[in-house]
Amino acid sequence: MNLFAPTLGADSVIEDALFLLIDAGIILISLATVMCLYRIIKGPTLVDRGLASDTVAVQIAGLILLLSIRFETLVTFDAVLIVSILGFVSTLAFAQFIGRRGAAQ
Amino acid sequence: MNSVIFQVAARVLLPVMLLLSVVFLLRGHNEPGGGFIGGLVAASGYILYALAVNLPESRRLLHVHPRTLISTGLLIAILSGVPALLVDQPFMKGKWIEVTIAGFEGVKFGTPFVFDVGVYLVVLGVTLLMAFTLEERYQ
Repeated sequence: MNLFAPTLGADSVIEDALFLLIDAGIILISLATVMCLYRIIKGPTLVDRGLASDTVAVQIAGLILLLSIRFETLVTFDAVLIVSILGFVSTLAFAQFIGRRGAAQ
Repeated sequence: MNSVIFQVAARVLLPVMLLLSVVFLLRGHNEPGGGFIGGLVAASGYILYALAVNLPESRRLLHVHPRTLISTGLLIAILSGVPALLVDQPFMKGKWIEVTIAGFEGVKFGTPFVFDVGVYLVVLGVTLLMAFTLEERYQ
């Protein structure tokens, strides 16, 4: 399956440029994820870690989307849904944990 | 958590996530999905409700204790291996039959699906048992 074949043609220059941009996006998001992982490990406070883990969930969702465009497949779209839901719930749990710790002290 | 928006959102999200988990469960085996991820989505729905409203309300909505879910799931998973024994084949060999469900003819129904239902219940029970126990310490 080729997402852009009907409008642009199989060996279009635009499609090459698009794939180049997608590759660049994959590399950039990977770098950003590594930086967030550094923040999770190093993070001076709990809030830094919570924010970084939330950002990692969003980045992984974006990475899966870019990879599914790159490999021209639709089967990974549900993984994006799962990662989004779990990231949302885990961020909420983290926020509540921080709030209770603050209230206890 | 004392947020009205979050409480209302959780009340809407729980049934949607339970439905989604059943969708993941039903289309496993051939497409992405299956019992494990379905159970995880259902459990996160209940955890979300426990975070938004409160823990006893979420337990009441589950109706049974998570331990009951674990034992029932394990029993279903073990029973899914029995049909192969009845026709002198190795334990847990997949057996398939074609059934008619809601007007759709030739729907394939087999022991791997029964095993997946067991996995779904076990994952739901284990995740909720852990999350509820951790949550209880703060109540």
